[in-house]
Amino acid sequence: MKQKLTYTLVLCLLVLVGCTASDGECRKEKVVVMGVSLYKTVFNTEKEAFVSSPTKEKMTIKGLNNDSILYQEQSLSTFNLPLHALQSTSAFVLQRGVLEPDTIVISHENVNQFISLECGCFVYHTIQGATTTTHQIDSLVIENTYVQNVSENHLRIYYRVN
Amino acid sequence: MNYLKRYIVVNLLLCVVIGVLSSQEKVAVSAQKDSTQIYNGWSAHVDIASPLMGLAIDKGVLTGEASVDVNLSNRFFPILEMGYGTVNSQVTNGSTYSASAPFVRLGMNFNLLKSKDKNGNLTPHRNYAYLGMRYGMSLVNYQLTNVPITRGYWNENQLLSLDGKNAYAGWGELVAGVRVDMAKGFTMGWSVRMKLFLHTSLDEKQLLWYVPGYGNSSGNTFTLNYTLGYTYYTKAERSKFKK
Repeated sequence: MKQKLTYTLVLCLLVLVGCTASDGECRKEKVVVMGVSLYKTVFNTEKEAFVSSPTKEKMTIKGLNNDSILYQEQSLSTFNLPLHALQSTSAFVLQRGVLEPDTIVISHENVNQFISLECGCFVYHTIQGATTTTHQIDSLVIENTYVQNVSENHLRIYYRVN
Repeated sequence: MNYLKRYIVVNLLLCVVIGVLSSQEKVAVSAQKDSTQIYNGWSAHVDIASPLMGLAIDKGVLTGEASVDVNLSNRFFPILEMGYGTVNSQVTNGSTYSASAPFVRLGMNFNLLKSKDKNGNLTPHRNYAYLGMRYGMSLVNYQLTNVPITRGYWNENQLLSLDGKNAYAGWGELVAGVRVDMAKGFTMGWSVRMKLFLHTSLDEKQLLWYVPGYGNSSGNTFTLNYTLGYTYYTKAERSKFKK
């Protein structure tokens, strides 16, 4: 009886070992983007102070000196921007409706992270600063400096209310 | 496809294990009571499966290994395994990884079969099933080439190369197998191993994509060994099998 139990345990181990084998596929999320959320700042007469709240705007967004449009006239409250992998500054043109567009400039440090032979090398970023023109945008706030391959918000853009 | 291959290998192994255990020869020892002898012999084996698997499945991997174990009380088998492996592998994105390293594993096998019958008589086994554990270590020289960095939106592309020398890797192994006496001390063995990567001297363990003696470092690995060798039994141990 004890021997049968022993054999059974050995066989179970063999099967378990076979089931834990890796198939060598890359299963990592490969997209590394900076998450941005839009806010509007209004003057609250009751509180007699400026208050901010999330907003949804009709946006057209593209990289500076890049013909490819990331978002075209889409109603957005949050969106993602791909930073340069080989340069330390990334700039984007953000147009709200048909109003004069703003340009935001993100300075960042790039860190190469080798993931695996199958997945290759990811480039993560550490945001060091952010500036903007102020045609429509009131201000920027960096919420999270580390940009990696997970869905997070990194930057808040505060728009003025027209 | 890899899963399929592994299931076929495991199923073949199961058949062999069942066959060996069911035909196991037990030698009854007449009224021989407990012996105090601890050292009962030694074995030296060479692994045949690793180089063959390299040729048949993992084209870029070539590994050779041998082992020596000592028989203590027919129950415990301290074991030393040594080998050398090289890997040269390319994936579809054009990246290549090459490494070469010696490796050593230290551990113990435990004979799972009963050594005494109901009456307390010794029932020595020339063939036995065992479970074991190992600690493996390797010093790896590795080279990664043509690792692409791309950022499609900005049309950025770059190829990266990395290399390193004497990167330490340590891992643990659980082993299950059988040892079978064929004739006049010549023995063979089957074993399967589940390996767990424990630590490395590198900050980024993933740089050691493949460690000779361990396998792919991205997760637990599974390997199969088929060994051939010679087992020396002490005179006292040999006398137990004489009728």
